[in-house]
Amino acid sequence: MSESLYVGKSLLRVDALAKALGTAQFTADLFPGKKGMLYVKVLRSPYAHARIVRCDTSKVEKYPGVKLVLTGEGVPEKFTWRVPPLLAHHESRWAGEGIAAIAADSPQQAEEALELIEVEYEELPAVLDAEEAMEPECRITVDPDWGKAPGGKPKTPERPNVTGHYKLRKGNVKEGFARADVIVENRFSTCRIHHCQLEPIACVAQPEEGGGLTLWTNGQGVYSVREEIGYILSLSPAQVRVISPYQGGSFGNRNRIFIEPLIAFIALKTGRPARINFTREEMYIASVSRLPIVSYIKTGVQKDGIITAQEMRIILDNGATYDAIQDGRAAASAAVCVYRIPNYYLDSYGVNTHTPPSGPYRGLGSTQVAWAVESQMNLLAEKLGMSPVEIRRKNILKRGEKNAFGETIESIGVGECLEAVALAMGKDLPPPSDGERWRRGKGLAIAGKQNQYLGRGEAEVLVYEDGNLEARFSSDEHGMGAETVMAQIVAEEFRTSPERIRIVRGDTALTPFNVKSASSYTTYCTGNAMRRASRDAIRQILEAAARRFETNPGDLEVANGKVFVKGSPQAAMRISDLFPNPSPNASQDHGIFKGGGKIVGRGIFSPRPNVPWDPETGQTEKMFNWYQYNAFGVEVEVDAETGQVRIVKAVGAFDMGFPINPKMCEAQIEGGLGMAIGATLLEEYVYERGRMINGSFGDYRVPTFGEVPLRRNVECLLAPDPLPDGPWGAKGIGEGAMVSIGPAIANAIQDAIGIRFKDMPLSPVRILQAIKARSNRGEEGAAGK
Amino acid sequence: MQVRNMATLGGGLCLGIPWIDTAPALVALEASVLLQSAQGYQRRMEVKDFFRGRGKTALKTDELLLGFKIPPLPLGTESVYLKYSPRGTFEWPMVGVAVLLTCDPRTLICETARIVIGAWGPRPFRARKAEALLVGSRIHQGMISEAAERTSADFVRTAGTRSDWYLQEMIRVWGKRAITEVCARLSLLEGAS
Repeated sequence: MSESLYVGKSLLRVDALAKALGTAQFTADLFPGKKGMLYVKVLRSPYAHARIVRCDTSKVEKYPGVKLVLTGEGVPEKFTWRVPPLLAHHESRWAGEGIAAIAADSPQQAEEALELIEVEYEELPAVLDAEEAMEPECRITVDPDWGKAPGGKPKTPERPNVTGHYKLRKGNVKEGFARADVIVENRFSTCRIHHCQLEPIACVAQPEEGGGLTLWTNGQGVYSVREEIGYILSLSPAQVRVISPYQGGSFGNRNRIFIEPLIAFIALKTGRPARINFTREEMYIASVSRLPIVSYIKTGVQKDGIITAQEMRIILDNGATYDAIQDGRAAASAAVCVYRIPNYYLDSYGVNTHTPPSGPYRGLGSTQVAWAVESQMNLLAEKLGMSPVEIRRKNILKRGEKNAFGETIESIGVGECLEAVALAMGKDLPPPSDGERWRRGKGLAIAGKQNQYLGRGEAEVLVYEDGNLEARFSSDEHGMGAETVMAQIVAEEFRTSPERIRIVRGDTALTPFNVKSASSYTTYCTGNAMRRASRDAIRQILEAAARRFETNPGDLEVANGKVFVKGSPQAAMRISDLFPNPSPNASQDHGIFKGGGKIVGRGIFSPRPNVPWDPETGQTEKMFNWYQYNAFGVEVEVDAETGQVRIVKAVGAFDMGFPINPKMCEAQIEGGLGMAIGATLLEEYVYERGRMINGSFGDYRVPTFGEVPLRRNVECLLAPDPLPDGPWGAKGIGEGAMVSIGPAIANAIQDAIGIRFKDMPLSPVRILQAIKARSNRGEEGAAGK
Repeated sequence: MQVRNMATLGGGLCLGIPWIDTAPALVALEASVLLQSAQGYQRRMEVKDFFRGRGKTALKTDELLLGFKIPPLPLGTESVYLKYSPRGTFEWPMVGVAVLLTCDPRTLICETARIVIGAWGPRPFRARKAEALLVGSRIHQGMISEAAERTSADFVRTAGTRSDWYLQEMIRVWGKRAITEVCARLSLLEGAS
């Protein structure tokens, strides 16, 4: 293949200017002040678990501007394993579940009317802790009916709150531990946090003539939204058109569309357009959050650092909804995809509790499990007196080897990532400028993140009569740069400037099928489809041109909007000249009917399907599509008098396969760093009897630019191991970007102050408590620097 | 779209947020505010009395804050304001400590001490017992630690219900850091240990 022109280059994002200038349209920007618009507000339960004794809406119905009031009895009863009932029926299962909805002429009227709804609750006992909820003797059960949703597996009567259980059995763990010289056993935990994407949930539903509707939403995946609305409201796909404007971030939060079916229902019932914009507090309590995970881990190693056996028990708190991450298998993959573990015994459980719904969040559980695995690796290294780099180096899987799932690894660049980070972390920073109170430490970690099988992706490339191109696809653009990558792919295949390519994205009436952008899937799946669509269009061009050139299509090529015999660009014809001459009946004088028609290239890509795993051993030759890998090193400073931590340096190295746009890959690394700093050090849901009490940016702290290291102290390194079936070898990067950072920070804190933290977040309070506890035991100096 | 690059001292104070950064500094300076009503009446009030609980001030609905009066500082005075919040930036302080000390330039005896804590509480307050410890003495390292302990104890007594150990600990740590900083500026700690 000749040298690439547009892929592998850091081209400017196609949406850069519109977003910088503020002209890019997001869902919340659409239809300002539109006549007839109804504004929807939802009344939410204040109790973690309660029976709804009485819900009286009679006062509301007469309130000025109110057009519709709905309770659980007045909405369709269908639900799916991803979308809980639209409003609570008789019982509220988490503090934040919708009890009633009001549609009014203005958001103020809807808000005011909410106060007039009289609800009488009978508070019921709630189970808030996943470890307690999963026990067979737990008497309090969470929504036992949800297993009946299509696509959901029913829960077992033995463990009424367990939504799923995945078992991995490999080799003989007993023998493995017998061979070990050192065995380390620990419990690690992470708390519930939120994605806090910039744009809260927004959607607008517009009823259409003939019974259907059009829905604009920042929910992920126009086809996925259409399917779920169609199922719940019993509508044909032909009646639901879903459009995806630019999305202000998602990070997995908008993978679950709790509110769209309700807004669609209101629009259909009233015959008027309806919209909702969530408040920030609603985002925390009424959209999905990140799964809290508890991991028990026991690892045996030989003196030479080789792992002989590992046992894990991973408990996922699904909150009160019945989610896709039912059995924790995806989360558990973080404990499988990096190291060679000959003897393995792993159980993962998904558990329901009366807490806000959990769901996908950048990493799909990998971050929480890597927190355990990568902290454990350092503790093992410490016991062995070995360097944290060396113990990792010795156990990393090699390409062609089988991991503990039984999958053969085709692409794994994690070893190169580790070496690159170790080297970069060797360089020292100048000492801190503000005094001696900061203690420094360095830490690193490595990790992998699976790519889920999400079915096929489709794409179309249209060639217009003037030779201009249009790329059509249905991925999301929640900031990751899908539009730019698709433009680069088409540009590369056509060997033409991306400026000649128009993007049409995310509209079920115009763009071809795609489930959604999730699991860092878009470049790989839609990218492959886009490449095939480009080639399909080029094939049609070459076939048409071959007749003119009186040669075989295989002898021709395209570049810069022209077709020519390979190697003879001087004798080229324009692609636009291939279009048929004007019809003899048309008004030739004006020339306005020149050309006509368009060439449509179509591409479909579907990864090799998964192979069902053995239910007793969890073994399969294909569990996931591939793994993206990374290593992260951080240098921290800890104020031992306040417990405050600041990150002063960070180095991230990534194997995302071939980087289609290296600059955007670096941006993912930088963004992942900021998000991980918040997740590790600051963020946490604080509850009072199951009700979140810190649901605002004032009380739930996310990092600012002040909390990430200075740009000159952040290094982004790319260490790609090309994937055989990725476009040009590309995999993906978005989700893996934060997986290894948490444990790297904990490892660095241990290096700085000699204390190991096993529970997130590493808040100043928690750190100072540990420092005080140690000095009370009189151990300071022994472990501290 | 609101784009702001200026604010006023008085505007910040009138928000009535007791832990606003400027409040402890103004209290330490024994500053007072000048208020004027719509009828033209003027009154003066010390900043320490201006706060009336969270979000509330002594400002009446028909009054404007005209300005501040800050008494001149005698020779041998140094002051500092230190702020702490768990998130490093863009945040209200969890604890803000203002310390002002005046020492006789010849004897280095502390003549005036003002230690003011702005923290999660109803208003900025003065740590009188800690101040009393320092006045009349030549300040040394051990005395600073003792004053910081007293500051924290004063806060617990004044704020009443607050029993958050971390907040108390931060008042002690930042109180000590602030007093130490002022003493260093006054060259009180040289040669001593």
